[in-house]
Order: sequence, then structure tokens, then C-alpha cells
Amino acid sequence: MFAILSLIAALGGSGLLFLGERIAGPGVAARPVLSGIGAVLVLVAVVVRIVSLVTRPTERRVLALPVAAYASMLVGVVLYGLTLEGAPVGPDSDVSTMLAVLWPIFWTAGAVPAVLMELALRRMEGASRIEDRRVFSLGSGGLVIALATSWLLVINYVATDRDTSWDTRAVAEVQASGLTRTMVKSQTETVTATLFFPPANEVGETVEPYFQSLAKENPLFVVERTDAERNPGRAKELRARKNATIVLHRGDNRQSIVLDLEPAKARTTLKKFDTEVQSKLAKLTVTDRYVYVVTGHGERSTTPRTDEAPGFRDTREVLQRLGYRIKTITTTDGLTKAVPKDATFVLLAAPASPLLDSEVSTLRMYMRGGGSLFVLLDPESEKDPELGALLDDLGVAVDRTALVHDSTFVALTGAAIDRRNVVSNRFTSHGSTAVLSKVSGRAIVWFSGAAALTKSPAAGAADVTFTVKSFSGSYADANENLAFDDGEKKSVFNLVAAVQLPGADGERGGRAIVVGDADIISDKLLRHNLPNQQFLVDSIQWLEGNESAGAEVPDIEDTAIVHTRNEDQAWFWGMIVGMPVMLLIFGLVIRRFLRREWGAA
Amino acid sequence: MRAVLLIVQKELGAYFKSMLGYLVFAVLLFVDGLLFHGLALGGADKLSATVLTQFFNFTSGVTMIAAILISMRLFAEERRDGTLVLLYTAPLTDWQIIIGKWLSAWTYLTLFLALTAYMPLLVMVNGTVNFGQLLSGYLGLWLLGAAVTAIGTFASSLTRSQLLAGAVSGAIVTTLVLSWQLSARVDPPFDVLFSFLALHNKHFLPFMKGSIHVRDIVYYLSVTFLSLLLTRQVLAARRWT
Repeated sequence: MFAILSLIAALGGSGLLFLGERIAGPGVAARPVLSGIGAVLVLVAVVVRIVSLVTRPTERRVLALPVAAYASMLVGVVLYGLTLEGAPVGPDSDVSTMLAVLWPIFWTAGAVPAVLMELALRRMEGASRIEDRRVFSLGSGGLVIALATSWLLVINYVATDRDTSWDTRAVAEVQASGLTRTMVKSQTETVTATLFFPPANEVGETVEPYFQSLAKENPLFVVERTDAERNPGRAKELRARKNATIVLHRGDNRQSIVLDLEPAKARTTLKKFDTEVQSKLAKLTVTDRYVYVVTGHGERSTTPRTDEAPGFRDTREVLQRLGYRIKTITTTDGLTKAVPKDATFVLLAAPASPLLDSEVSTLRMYMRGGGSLFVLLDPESEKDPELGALLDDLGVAVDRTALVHDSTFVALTGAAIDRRNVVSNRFTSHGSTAVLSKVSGRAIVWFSGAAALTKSPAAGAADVTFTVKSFSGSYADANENLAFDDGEKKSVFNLVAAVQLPGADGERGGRAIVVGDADIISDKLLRHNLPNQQFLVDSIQWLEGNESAGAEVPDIEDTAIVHTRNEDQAWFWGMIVGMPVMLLIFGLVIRRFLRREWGAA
Repeated sequence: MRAVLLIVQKELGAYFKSMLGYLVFAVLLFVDGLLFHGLALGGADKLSATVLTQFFNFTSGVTMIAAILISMRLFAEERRDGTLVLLYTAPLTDWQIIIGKWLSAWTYLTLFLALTAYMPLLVMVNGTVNFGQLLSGYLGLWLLGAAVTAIGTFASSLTRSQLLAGAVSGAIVTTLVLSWQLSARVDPPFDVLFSFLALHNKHFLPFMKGSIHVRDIVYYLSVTFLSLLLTRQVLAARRWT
């Protein structure tokens, strides 16, 4: 009688408390009534059990156990009450957080043993004496279950909060490219990515790791995830109209990306997600870094017309996404005098006609003063002796014969001219190719009509490192017939040079990247091959003085995976039916063998 | 440990000394093979990584069903045949009995998983297999199998009917799988709780895609431990009846 009454009171009271707090909720008139009655009922369970204790003094020892269990439940309820609005502790304090962990533990540690013990006691109602060991065994068992559950929940909470993961995927669904990582890394002000997704949403689960991986690049990149429907205040503040919205914000500057909660509908946007994030990040970034592009000598244009040689439209976009502002510099606006002081670096992209002596002198002075120069050469452009003087300072000499490889090249047109599209994954461990050298197994940089570089006899104090070399079997095609002839020599050629000039008085000296092919970052190749983009990003970073040697290596190239259907259907079927059949035959053989053994025995 | 291994040996012997063990393997492999051919390789052209992901997705279903089928007899059969009392009176602790029986079922399941390996390896014929994803997927299946086998062991300890034990463990596993869908329909903080409890979508999906999370490993180990602990408490309580 006491058993069933106490149990109903304790569990019913807890149920009413749940209804009051969770179903009715704040502001509803029924809440205090339901919660109040609930708490009182739990108290009644304790009182009823104390009464039973008093009425059966001989079994005080065993009957004290349910009292302790209900008391534990009551403590849980009281602790919960302390966390409510208006209570001494209140909802927004550290103590409240601690109580939020403790009250369920106390409640469960009371409820589970109480149920088990009361069920046992009910079975023994009317018996001459209570089997105290049985009640104790069930009670302690229940306590073990309750405490173990609490302990496991805590462990899981910590594991989730401090989660570490290993990504073995060859092709991630959404993965931050090297460019996006560099954009995040170069931020100097806090940017927050607020992801509005309900819990347990697949699209949310897909994009969250993407942003978490970016957050590892820079502590100033903060990621928060919330549900727009359950946190309407935050959604309104950031003007997110619905869930599946991602808001990137820096101060009052906000940029939104809207996806869909359904994975199938979100797939199209997710395919271009990284590019979308780059474009939004670029709009948030404020910078005073300038790239001066030398013009006026037939250089490749950053805004090319269709009838011109492949331009640098994509390179301009990459630079802008990295937060650079692009300016041009010509003879008329100062190239004959000095490079502007706000130049982060100067881009000299395959001039087709000679530079003036004074222009070359300006660039040489700029380099001696610790400037940074990105020089792209083109075997097709006119030979420029004055540029040669600049290259001498940098310690680099150029053989303007285009390199060719007979077997390893990129087939862009399907014609023999493709043999000039040499490729390479032979990277030196240098700051300007640190990422590429780590992923050389799957990152191949493309060239188109590249010239070989050598160390100039007039190198002087310049520290020249050839960072990218051609595959063996390449040769300089002197007669331009795209075939290996007598007099031509197959070898390994230097394709890119990174130059460090000595600095004066402990200051950083000038830095230069010299490439024997302007197409490496032209629209012809850059948009088709991500490693070329990585090369550009790494080179710029190194020119600016940001070594990327310690950078996390991103997956810069999707592994080419070939489809596996329609071929050898019969063979596949053979395996699928054959394997189980073979297993059955194996089983029969083993059984027959065992029977013989048993028979013999 | 020796006592545990003796129980494992006895239980595994029961599978393989009759044709039942081989037959169950053959049927499960055939079903898995059909699904592999029909779902993973069928339809539009797919990347090998997608084929692998789909393979792990439906193999997780087959694994859960297999784990329930394998584990439902562990204690229920002993109770039905009246041999549980022999185990009780043997010089074995409850934990040794439980671990021995669960380990035998898990070992049997591991053998089944090992036999399915030829399917993803078939992808290598015309595609490229990422061994990282392969390892991750199988680790996920192995842990999922451990958890479901432990749930099945617990259910088996509750009743003398194997069918009922299978139904109970099936109900528990289904509830845990569907708690993902449920989490989208309940209010905080229960949405987080249900999402955390989701046996498949929350914790297995990363494995099958090639992403190994400590939180998922801890979750599966927790479910396994808690289920075995509950089994222990049930066995302890049964001594009084």
C-alpha cells in the first residue's frame, strides 16, 4: 500500500512538474499550479515513506532505503527550483549551470532505485518479513544504473564538446580551399559565422565542420550555430529570415548565404559553397594592402579583351578575395621615379616590349629597399635586355625557349601543341611552395609554354631557390617543331625561382618570385587547376612575408575516381551469388570433417 | 579471462558446428550483395566514394538486423532450456558470463563484416578505393555492431522467448534510430538529447563518409557499456526470482 502510493506520488509529481515547466512553460497560468502540485507530491512520497518507517519499526533498516531514494528525488526537484527565474540562484549564473547538471543526477539516482525497490516491496506485501537483502540488492543495482548513466552522459558531453576528428575522406562534400583558409588566416578583425540550423539537420551537419575547420585557422574567426525558430531574437538581429541561413558578419557588416534544409535541394548551392563563402568573406574584409600591376608594355591584362592573350581576370579575383586592392602603375604615373610606398608587392606580368631604363632602375631600387616583386615571363614575348638587368639583380637567368615533354602534358586542345603544356609536382620545401610540397602526390601544377630558369652568373648576394622543377624527359624545343631532335637535350629544368635579397641593417630584404611562364596564373590555366591557384596564393603569402610552412594542408584536388558500373556484370553477379554459395560449401565440408572426427572418437 | 574465452569458444562452436552459422552468414551476405549491386552500383553513374558511402549505409542496416538476430538467443535460449541455472552455479561471475556471451556474438558479427569486405574491394576493379574511408566505415560498422549486440544481449536477458527478445531489442534499436527524426519535432532541451541518442544518423553517418570522431566512438562504447550493465543488473535481479 505504502509502496504503490509513494511511487505514484513521486513519479506523478515529477510528471506534473515536467508538464508545468516544459509543456506549459513561462507565462502560462497553469505553470505554477502544475509545478507546485508536482513538487508537493514528491514531498508527499517522502512523508508517506517516513510514515511507513514509523509504523513498522522492526523493518526500519530496510524501509529507510526508499525514504533515501525519494529524498534524493526531492533534492533534485529543489535544486531544479533554485535555477528558476526569481529563485535565490536564478537562471544565469555559474552556480545555476552547476545545479543544472546536479539536479538530474540527484533525481535519477533517486527515481531508478525507488522504482526497483518499491516493485520488490510490493511483491513482499503481506509477507511475514521483508527480504532486506533483496531490496538492498535491487536498490543498489538501480543506483549503479542511475549513476553510470549520469557518468556516461557527462563523458559524452565532454567528448562532444572537445571532439577531435580524423578526416580520411578523399573527397569531402564541402571543404575549405587553400584560398579560403588564407583569407580567414589573414583577417585582423573578428568575423563571426552564425549558422541558423535546427538540431539534427543534415545540411547543418555538413556545413558546420566546414566553418569549424576555418575557425582553426584564426581565433578571430568565430562560429556559432543556433536555431532561428528557437532563437528568433538572434535571427532578427542578423536578419536571417529562416533556418538554413548562414550569416557572416563583422560589426554591422553582414553577408548571408541561404541554403535549404533539404539535402537534395541544398546540393546545388553546396557544390559552389566554398566560392560563395570566399565572395562573402571578401566583402567583409577591409584592407589597405595594394598590388601594383605594371602596365604599358603589352603585359597580360587583369581585365582582358577576348582578342588578347589569356589575361589575369581570375588572378585579379583571387587577389581581391585575399583582400588586396589592385592598382596599375605605368610610365606616366611614376614607374620611372619610384614604386608607391603603399605597395605590398608589384606584379610584372609578361611584358611584350622593353621597359625603359628608368623603369627598370625604379624596380631595382624598389627591390633593394625590401620590396616584393612577382615576375612572370613568357617565352613568346620579345627579349628585353633591360629586364635582364633586373633579373641579374635577382640572380636569375632565362632561356626563352619553350619547354616540351613528349609524354607528360595536359591535353587542352588534343593537338601536338599540347606538348608545351608541361606539368610538374616536383616542389622544393620552400616557404613559397610549402603547401604544394606537402601534397605533391595529388597536386600537379600546369604550365603552358614555360621557359627554363637558371642561376645567373651575376647572382651576387641574392639567395635563389628553384622551387618548381620540370619532370625528367623535358627538353627545350629549340626549332619549335614539338619533337625531340638531335642537338636538343632531355633533362630536368627549373620552372620557378624564389629569390631572397639580403636586407640592410637587419631589415627584411627584397623578395621575388620569378616564373618562366605567365600562363601559370592566367585565365587559361588558373580556373581549370586548383594547384595553380594554390601556387598563386602561396607565392603571394611568401612575398608578403607570411610563411606558410606551418599551414594545415588542405585537400586541394579531388581524387579522380572512376565509376564502377556496367562492366563485367556477370562477374559481379558471380561474386555476389558465388560468395554465399562458397561459404555454404565450406560449411558443409567442415561439418562433414567434424562428423568423421566425432565418428572416429 | 580464461573463463570468458571458454564461453566465447562454446558459443561460437554452437554456431559453426551446425550449418546454422554458415547459413546465416550466406543469407546475410547474399542480402548485402543484392543491396550492393542494386543500390550502390545501380542507378546513375557514381563516384567510388559515393558507392562506398552507400555500401556502408545499407550494410549498417544489415549489421543492426544481424546483431539483433545473433544476440536474441544468448540468454533467452538458456532460460528456455533451463540451462541458465547451470551457468549461475558454475564458478563464474555475472560479468564473465555476460562478457563471454556478448563477445561471442560480436566476434560472429565481426566475421560477417570481414566477409563483406570483398564488396568494397570490387570497386577497385574499375574505380579508386580510399582506404581511409574503408577503414573508417568498417570501424563504424564494428562499433555499431558492438552497441546493437549489447542491446540485444540486454533484451535477451529479459525474457525466455527468443522472438520476444528480438522484438524488444528491435524496438530499442528502432527507437534509438528514429530519435534523430524525433529530435526535429521536440522542444529544447529534448531536441539535443534525442539528436545525441540517434544511433545511426548522428553517430554512424560521419564514419561512413570517412570522418572518425571521438564523440561517436565514445557514444557507441557508452551504449555498449550501459547495455551490458543493465544486463548485469537484470541477471542479479533474476537471482531473487
